[in-house]
Amino acid sequence: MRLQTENLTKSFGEKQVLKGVSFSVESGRALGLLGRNGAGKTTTIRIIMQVFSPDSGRVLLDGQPLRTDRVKIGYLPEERGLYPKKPILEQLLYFGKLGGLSKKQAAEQADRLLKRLGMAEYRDKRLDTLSKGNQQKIQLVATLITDPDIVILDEPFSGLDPVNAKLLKELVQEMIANGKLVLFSSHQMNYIEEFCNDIVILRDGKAVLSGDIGEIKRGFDRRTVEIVTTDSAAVAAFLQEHKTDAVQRAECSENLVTVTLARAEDKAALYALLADCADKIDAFRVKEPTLNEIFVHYTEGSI
Amino acid sequence: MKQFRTIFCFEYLSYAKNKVFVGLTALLIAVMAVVLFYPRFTEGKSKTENTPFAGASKNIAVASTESAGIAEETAAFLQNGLAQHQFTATEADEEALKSQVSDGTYDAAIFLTGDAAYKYIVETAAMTDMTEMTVQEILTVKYQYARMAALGLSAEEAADIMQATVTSETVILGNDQSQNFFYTYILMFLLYMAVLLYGQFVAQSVAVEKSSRAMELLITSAKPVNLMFGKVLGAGAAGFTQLVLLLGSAFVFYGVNKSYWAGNMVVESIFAMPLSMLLYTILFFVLGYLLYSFLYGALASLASRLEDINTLVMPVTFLMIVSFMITVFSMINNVDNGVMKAASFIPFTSPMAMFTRIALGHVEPYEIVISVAILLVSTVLIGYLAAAIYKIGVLMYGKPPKPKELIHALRGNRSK
Repeated sequence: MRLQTENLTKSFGEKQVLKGVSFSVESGRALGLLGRNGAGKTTTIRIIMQVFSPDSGRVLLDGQPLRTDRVKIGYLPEERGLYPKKPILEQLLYFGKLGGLSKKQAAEQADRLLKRLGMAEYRDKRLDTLSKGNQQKIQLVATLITDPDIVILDEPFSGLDPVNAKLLKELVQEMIANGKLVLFSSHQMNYIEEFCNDIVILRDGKAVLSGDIGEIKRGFDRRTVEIVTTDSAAVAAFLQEHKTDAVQRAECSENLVTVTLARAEDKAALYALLADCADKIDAFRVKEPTLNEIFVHYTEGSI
Repeated sequence: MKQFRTIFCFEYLSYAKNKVFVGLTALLIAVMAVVLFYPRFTEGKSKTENTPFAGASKNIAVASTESAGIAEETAAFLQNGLAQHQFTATEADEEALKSQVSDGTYDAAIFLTGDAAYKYIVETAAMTDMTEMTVQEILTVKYQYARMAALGLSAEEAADIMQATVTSETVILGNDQSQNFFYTYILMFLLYMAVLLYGQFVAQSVAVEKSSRAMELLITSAKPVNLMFGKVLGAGAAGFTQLVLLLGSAFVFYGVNKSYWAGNMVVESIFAMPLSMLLYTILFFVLGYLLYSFLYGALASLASRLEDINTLVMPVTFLMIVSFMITVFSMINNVDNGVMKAASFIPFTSPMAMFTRIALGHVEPYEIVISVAILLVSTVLIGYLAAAIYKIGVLMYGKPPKPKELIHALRGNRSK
């Protein structure tokens, strides 16, 4: 399956929230939907879920307009919410049945997922008697109860302790391995880097960057170089002595000197220069930007 | 359809399992049982003390301006008619009587000032004290006999005239308002209470889902139209079950105690209501409830916090109160007045107005059909409008939107 959005736009009153959002994601891959607060992530998700209709643009599944009644979508909303006063199993069955399962199927699925997340003992408890982390897990069960083909997770890791985060990580990896199409929205870049093959960065309602993370990183300006060394102070001093226009800045840490070049093409000049102290150098490599740096680079200055 | 059924069942069961709801139903049935069984248990006692208005025995003085003989004769006559009091003829004058009543020698005094006039002197005229009225009746009869005797009639002839009454028979062509009034009032009041109560339930349930954010998941799992109709019909069915239980148990309790209620016109007339009225009640309850609950649900979807509901649903509650007021005030005078005629075709007021006119007034069958048709169509339309508002409302957090903004949002969502 291939989910694709084409130039989505949406206004609420005077305010234009989406100004053309396009991206695509395939089954068995995860897409990270990034953007600062108010960039249009939730609106995009709601348009995909057909809660809103876009002012223009389309949502396609394998080239055909997406029909939410034909394909099962599991949604973990950022604003978590179930019925606080109702027994857990009862509401899970309700959401399962709303998603088109029979009562029996819903019961089986709820049973399986509750066991998987270690929550089986709580099935008859009221939701508001559970801790926040456990409520989150129940929310996740509600998301996955229909065994959806498309899974949309909005900030799935917020509020989870490291053990629960690990549990969720395994579950997400399992989903991706099982060929689910996962749409992931988070501010925690480390998780995105861990799961997502593709990212889209939204800024003020526009997709400013989209594609494969590796390619994006490689395509990013490659002018930061890391020199792995046994004596970083000496290398830094050497660079200080032999000043060239190519080196903008050199930072020294325990066994690493990070050099920022004026241009990516200046790498050869630096390499040549370092030949004189080559015996102190273990490795010379280009430092790829972290997702965090890419994110800040693309979204800084936006509202 | 399956989705609607799921939502309907979920909503219905959430009322049926709600302890407060079940408790309230049980309590109301218990109250009904107590009221309707009451005469069965109090029957024995109430027969023995069958002097409801007489009050305690009084010591009453009788005096006259004319002569002691008249006072004695009157006292004897009164004693005959009002055996529980003690009448004593005295020769005291008015001032003396007043002071004797003041100091408690007598509870009251009757001072005859002419053949057909007297003063009743009493310290405190109690609200429930009927003695004076009875005294007046007896003295009037005494005067009437005296006058007839003076005109030369014998005692028998006089008694004959006094006892004669004209027999009558009323032929009712339309509705008998004296018969229908009580049950119409009760049913209409029930309709009013039920719509307000269950409408509030719907509003509450929508706002709870929104404030707990369960809505985020609901709105992405189900169609708004299904959610709205499932919710409203689910709460309505729960309310209907409650009403059927209440009315059903009332009829059963009354049936069991029927003989004990014999003679109580009001209660008998209530339970003698024709089946057609009961069916009309159901029809107008269902339609009126749906119409108002859709509005309640739609408006509640605009509230971000539970506290906002009351302000938001106020206009609808107000509409209901106005329609109740119009109907109640018209019931007392003329149910077929111009306002009522108009109100019985306006969907918001017609459930009560048309119902009351059918029960108490004069309506042609075609008028009922038109009124119900208008109500039915508007209910469906408002249902869909409510679902559209709901869809927008539930995802709007923060301050509830102004009507203008809402219309704008509705248009925006529709044209695309």
